[in-house]
Amino acid sequence: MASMAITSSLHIASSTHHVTKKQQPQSGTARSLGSKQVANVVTLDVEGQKGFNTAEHHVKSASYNEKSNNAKDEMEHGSDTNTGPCGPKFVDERWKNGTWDLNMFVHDGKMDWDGVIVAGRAIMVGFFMAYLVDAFTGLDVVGQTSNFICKAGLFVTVISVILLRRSEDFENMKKLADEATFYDKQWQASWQDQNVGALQHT
Amino acid sequence: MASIALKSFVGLRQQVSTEKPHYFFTSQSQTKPPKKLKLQVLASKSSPRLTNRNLKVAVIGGGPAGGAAAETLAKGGIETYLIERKMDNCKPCGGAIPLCMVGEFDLPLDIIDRRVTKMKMISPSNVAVDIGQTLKPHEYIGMVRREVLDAYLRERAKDNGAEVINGLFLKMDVPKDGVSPYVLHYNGFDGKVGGVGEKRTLEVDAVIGADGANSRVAKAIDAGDYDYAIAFQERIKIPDDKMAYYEDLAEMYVGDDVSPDFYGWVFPKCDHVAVGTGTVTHKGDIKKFQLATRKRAKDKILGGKIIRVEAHPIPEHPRPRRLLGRVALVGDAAGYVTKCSGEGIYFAAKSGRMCAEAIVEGSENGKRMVDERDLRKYLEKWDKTYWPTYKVLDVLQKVFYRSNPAREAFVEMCADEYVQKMTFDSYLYKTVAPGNPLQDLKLAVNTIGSLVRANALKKEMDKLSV
Repeated sequence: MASMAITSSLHIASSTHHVTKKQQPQSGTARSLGSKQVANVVTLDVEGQKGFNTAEHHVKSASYNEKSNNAKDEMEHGSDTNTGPCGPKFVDERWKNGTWDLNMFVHDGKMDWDGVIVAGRAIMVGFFMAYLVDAFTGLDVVGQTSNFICKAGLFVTVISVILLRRSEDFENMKKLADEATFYDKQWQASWQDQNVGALQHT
Repeated sequence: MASIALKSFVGLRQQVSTEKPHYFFTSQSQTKPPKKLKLQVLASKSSPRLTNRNLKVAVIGGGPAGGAAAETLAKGGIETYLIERKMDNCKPCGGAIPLCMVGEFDLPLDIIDRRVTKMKMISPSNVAVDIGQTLKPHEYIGMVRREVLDAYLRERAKDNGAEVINGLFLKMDVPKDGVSPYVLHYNGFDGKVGGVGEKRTLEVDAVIGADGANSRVAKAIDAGDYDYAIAFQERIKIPDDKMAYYEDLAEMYVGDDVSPDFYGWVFPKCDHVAVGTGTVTHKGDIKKFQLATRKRAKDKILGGKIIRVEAHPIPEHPRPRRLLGRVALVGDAAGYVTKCSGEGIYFAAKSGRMCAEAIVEGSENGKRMVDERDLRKYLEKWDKTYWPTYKVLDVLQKVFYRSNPAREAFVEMCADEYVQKMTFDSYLYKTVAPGNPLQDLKLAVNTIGSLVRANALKKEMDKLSV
């Protein structure tokens, strides 16, 4: 159901892309804080691709480019399928009937989990962007996730998947948090031994 | 003599804390005390009254922190001793003081050699941005000579009743209880220039350590170490026509060539300029950074003669322990230098004053003994008042000093009028001004945009130069 919502929102969003265009840079740049590699802004732009995809894909890291390019190309032309109004549709050889066909991710006889995760992340990002677009333009995706707990859980999952690419990323995040609060700890050091000091001198 | 009078009250204190004999002074943590100690009264109002004498406090170090502390103590009726090792010391220093310091410390205007009203920020690619357009006519950054400022503050302390001793503090004996005095050992110079001086001792009830980045008082209380930057500066006398350019202008150079984690500067002094730079992480390359700074300012200081070379450590963060018993650290000794701008004079003076005020209050103008809790009030007030300032500057340093693209973005941001206004308001008046939320949001977006753009440009530049 969620995937249906995503596809429909992708359609809707793409058909109103002239409205979404101004939202895109904002959400794009907002997410650039989470992603470490923003350098691709220039390199991808050179291709002259239009549409809101460019902002979305610019923020992804290098290894992701080929897939996003692939998706982007397909997005520009495509035919109407089962849901919603017409407009550029998302077409990818692995995208079947509104969901990823896991069989297509097999490489050399093994599951390509990295590919799955990357594709899985594309959906998350797409969902998030559709949500934002909806919030700004009032199209009815937000209403579908009306239960607050579900919404909260969904958001946590989406954001975690975006931010934590590998298990190392969790360590990196922790290090970042430590670095950000290191100065605070240095300042509070004098208060750490307050209890000890106060007891030794009356 | 004084201790005999004190001893008669020791019995009183014993009744309040019967656990006292179990505790010895060590720097290691002891086991958790039994609950009885919690009944101890928190205020020092339970401290014994001093009979026949006032509280005696020594301030070690006669810079801005020591001078301000000694003046406040003396004004508060406390018997104050200010120990300074070199009365005519020209401390290597940028020498910039914010406008609010003039008012808060009643500084006479002739102490200020120059009023800087314009600043130039120069990026790694030599893009220069003028900041200071938002300054009002009465606003400026004051440039002072440290020897002049320090001497003035010490004189004023003396005029208020403090005894200024020319001596070098060596070590101190820490008492084992809350009423015995600290015994300070120092070399008294008696105004004699040169020579070793004679060994003397001084007994005081409390000590304020204001002896700078290499504080011996800090060592005496096992305060721990801090990371520090080396600031290296050359004073250069340049021809008058070039000096006219720096009449009321200071320059800040940022870039990897000038410093990997700080900035290079050209600050105008009374009749010469100070060209310098600093670094935490690459102290060994400081001479290289200095050469690069001079190179960046090349034409503007052409024909100049170096009249003095100086260097000094600058603390990067507070020491792990700023207070122990009746000894407190202030100023550079405590580590109160901001990140990003490396400002320390104002904070030294203010912390000296705050600590002295806490002692005056806790001792009821010198009538009672003080204890650690009174001094902790100074720490509490200090942290609460200035923590936001320090944190904001720390964040700025982390974001904008980490790479050349970030520095380019930084200089670009500084061109914005809102940024200039906020920067100067915070710097000159030492408050983190809240600002306009809409403008703040715009600023945040612009910052991110600048950073992204600068990083992208760098990639493009690298591609071209390869």
